[in-house]
Amino acid sequence: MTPQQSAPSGPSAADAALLSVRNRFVDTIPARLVRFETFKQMLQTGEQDPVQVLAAIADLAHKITGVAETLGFSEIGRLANAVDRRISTGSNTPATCGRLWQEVAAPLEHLLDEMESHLDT
Amino acid sequence: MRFLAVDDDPLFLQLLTLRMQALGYADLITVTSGAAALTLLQSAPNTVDCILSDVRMPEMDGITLCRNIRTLPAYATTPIVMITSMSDRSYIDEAFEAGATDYINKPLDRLELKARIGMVAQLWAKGQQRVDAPLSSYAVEPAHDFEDALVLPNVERLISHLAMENYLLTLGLKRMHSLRAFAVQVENARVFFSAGNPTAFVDMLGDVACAVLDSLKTEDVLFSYAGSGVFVCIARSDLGSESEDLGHSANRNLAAFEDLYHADGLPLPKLVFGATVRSSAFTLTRPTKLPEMAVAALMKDHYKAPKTRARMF
Repeated sequence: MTPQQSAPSGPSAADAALLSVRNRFVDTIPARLVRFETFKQMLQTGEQDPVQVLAAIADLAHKITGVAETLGFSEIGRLANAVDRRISTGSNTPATCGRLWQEVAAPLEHLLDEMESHLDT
Repeated sequence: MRFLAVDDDPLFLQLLTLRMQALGYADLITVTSGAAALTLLQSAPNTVDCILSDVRMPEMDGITLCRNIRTLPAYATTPIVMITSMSDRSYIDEAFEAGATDYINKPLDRLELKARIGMVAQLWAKGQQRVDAPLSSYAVEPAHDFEDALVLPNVERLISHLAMENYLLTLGLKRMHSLRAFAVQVENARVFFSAGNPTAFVDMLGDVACAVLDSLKTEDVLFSYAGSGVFVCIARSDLGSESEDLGHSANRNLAAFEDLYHADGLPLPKLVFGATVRSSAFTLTRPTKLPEMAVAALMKDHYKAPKTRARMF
């Protein structure tokens, strides 16, 4: 089978398209920072089920992992993956989520710092 | 070749589309949920040739989607490639059991994407060349040759040869130490193939697969049909019986169908089981060697020299 020959654009157009996706990723950073900060606040105030909040943090970090490294944001991808893995492979139950949050808090801060650093570029 | 990509992240879909276009695969539809993918596939049978699906998605995850797709007759054998990040590795076993054909790692690597999709494209091209033929009750088109591996989508835990190889490659050498494998041959398979009725041949293979599965005391197994009447079974836990006992049990299960076979003028399939082999760091040089060892053990036990050799090896 021969791949279809109708690739619609040349290298420069492809680069421009990739740059457009990169820019869109950067555009999503502020909203994602707000979501992470909201989750942090929920964990600190205990107003929501902490198990669910930690799972939501993992999901958001997971989504960032999936695309960041491919777009060249390797450090964001690495840190997001670390947060996701720490939660997803850790024990996230009502009895253990407090300790899990203590373990995740520092890596999450690193991730937020790294994401924030790309807002100025 | 038309692709359907499923991911809850629109940015990733945009990125995947660009990468696929760069490889020359421009015909790609994208949806952001498993439910949307199912709706599309149900409303448009036979219009998608390959499905690329994320694993971790809200509401319907990629594994459930895969399982649901396999219930759609038009997509029972369509290649499904899961797109995973490292933290999804725990889902890999489940994905292959659900009918996935392969996986691609996130972040997307251009060469890996090219290799994986290229393999699927070759499979698709081969399928395109097949002649129209009546479907058996196991809903699979007959292969051209006796030696060809077949996919029998309606048999639980029976996956394609390609998926079996991909699964073993996914595990890698380090994670294979607990695996066991054995091969089963239908001794008189050629009689069925030579009878000139492809449907009867495929039906026989389906019956055999079910009989072998029923004889096992564990469900922690995956099968593939390797061609030439040979099945390979990979088990992730103790089989609970010696191969000789398994053989007796499986042949007994098949004996229940004796009257049906005789009514069609066919003999009862006769199964021979090879010894169970285990993987070890000393014997394995590559993950896909384990099925080869299982077939070699079968041949050694039952034949002085191999009479047939499955095409997969």
